[in-house]
Amino acid sequence: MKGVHFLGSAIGVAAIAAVPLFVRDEYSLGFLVLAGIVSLLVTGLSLLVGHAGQLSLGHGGFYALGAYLSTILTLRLHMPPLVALVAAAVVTALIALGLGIPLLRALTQFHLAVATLIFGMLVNAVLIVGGEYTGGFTGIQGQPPFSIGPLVFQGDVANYYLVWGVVLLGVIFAVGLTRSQAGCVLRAIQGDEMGAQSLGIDVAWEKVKVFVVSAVYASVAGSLLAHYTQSVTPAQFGVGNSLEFMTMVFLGGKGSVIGAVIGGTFIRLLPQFTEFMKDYRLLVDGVILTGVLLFVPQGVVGLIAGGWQRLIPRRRPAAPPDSGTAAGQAAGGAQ
Amino acid sequence: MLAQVLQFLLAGLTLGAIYALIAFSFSLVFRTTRIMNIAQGDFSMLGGMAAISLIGLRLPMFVAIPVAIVLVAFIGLAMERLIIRRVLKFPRMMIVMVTIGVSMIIQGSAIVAWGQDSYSLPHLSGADPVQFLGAAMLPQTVWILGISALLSLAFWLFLDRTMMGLAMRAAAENRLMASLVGANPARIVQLSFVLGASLGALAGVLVAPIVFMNFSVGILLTTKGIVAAIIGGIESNLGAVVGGLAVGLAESMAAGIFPSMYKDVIALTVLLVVLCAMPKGILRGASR
Repeated sequence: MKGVHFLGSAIGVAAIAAVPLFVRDEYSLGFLVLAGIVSLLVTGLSLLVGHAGQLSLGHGGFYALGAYLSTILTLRLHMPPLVALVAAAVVTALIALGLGIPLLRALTQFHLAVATLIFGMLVNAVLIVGGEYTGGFTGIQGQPPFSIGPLVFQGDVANYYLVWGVVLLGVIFAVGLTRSQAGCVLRAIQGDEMGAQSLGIDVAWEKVKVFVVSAVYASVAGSLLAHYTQSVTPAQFGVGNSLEFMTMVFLGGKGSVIGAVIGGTFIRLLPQFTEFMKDYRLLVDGVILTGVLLFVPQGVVGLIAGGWQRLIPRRRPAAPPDSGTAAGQAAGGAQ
Repeated sequence: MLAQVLQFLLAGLTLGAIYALIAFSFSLVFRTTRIMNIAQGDFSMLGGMAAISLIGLRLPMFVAIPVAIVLVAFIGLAMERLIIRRVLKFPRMMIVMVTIGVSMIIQGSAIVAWGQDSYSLPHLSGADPVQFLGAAMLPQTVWILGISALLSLAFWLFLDRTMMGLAMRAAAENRLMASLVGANPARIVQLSFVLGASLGALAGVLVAPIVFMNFSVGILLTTKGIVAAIIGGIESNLGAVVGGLAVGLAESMAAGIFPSMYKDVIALTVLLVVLCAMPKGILRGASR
């Protein structure tokens, strides 16, 4: 099984690395860069949803913080982009901490869902009335390209490798986290929160940590976006975007890191293939989200994994990736 | 000075009454089904937009408004029939996501039907303000306050004094026991969605003359309704009213103190601070 996983990952990475050799036009490559940025954010979000069992309806807010902080720090304070990215991530982490501690300490996932929804709207409202600091509706343009020391990432190909490189790091970190002791702790919480608590696990604190990590993913994605598109406006970070991110998580399969990348890329690229559906975007997202939840609650990756197990029956019948926790929650949630 | 305070008070009460209605419709659904319906505010948006369109078709207002409310009630019914019924056994988190999906479908359909522009409804009876102790008061304010007060009373009587209301509350407490003593939980879920949708639509119709309506106001109304319901205590009848008025008043007082361009920022900050500061007492029912 391990060999299969390793081979699959290697093929996946090679395929992603080879894309610029085949996709030559700047336009298409540009959308793949944006898809990578969104996938990074959704990877973090899927940790929160899948491993802490929490909903965030306002990750667009953290995304915006990363983008705007990076912009302001590089343009106004002339920081190097890498330093600005780290600084933006630190500030975002502190804000997520301030938001997460009172809410996650206080019981239910509904608090976080509602509060993050308000938070996303609030960040957007602040960006709009921010005057010269945020540029109002028109935002800020003219960010420098991302650079690490003398290495400047100019153009679509360079940014493609930069962004997907960061996505790879993000995925490796996320998978490592879910397999580490911290991941075990989180799974224990998902399985039986009371039981975990009685083992001495600080349930709320574990959830806060994942919330902060997922906010940092969003912030880094925002920073990369600002340097790539060299333009930020409030409209890029609205509530609709936050809800779209959640759609991506559930499309890929709640709790699956690879699913997050697949869901993010698919939904981000969808409008490109169907130009006519500009006005239908929200409707299509809604239909996808509702349809996935109703008919494929385990998501695309769960579906494929299920099919794989059916194809090769002699393998030890592992539980489908999602059903165990879902059933546990259903039993726990019913009363 | 007094007139100015009174002005903000009136504005706050008007908004508060609307939030109270939405909070009421939200907690009605929540209390009977334990479902946190994010699409609740979208029913209000639909009610307002439908009424605007029907009046655009030259229907008289007293026909257009009931028709709009009935249309939205059917959409509530459809939501329950086609979607909610299938997911009742899902984990809670998934059900919340399903209602978000429905909210996106409703908003997306609204974009297709009405575009992204904002519209507003004519006032129920004239837009000329009346002087009231030195403060200017729109006749719409009287309508909003009057109808909300009457409806709250009617719903309280319904939930407290009728057999159906009793059955709804019983089903909320314990579905199995309620069905053992003869209540039909499936019917009750359906009824809550229809009533919740109609009540939400009415709130939308009432607010449409004083707030511009477009496809996206629903989510904002949901947020305010939820926070109002949470502050007031989602399990109590009076809670929605108290919470709604509190949110409305806080919002209008803050808007009076700070420059008006910061209105949204202030309102959202107030909501967020309230939610972070007193998360307990909040949603006591949700943790069950």
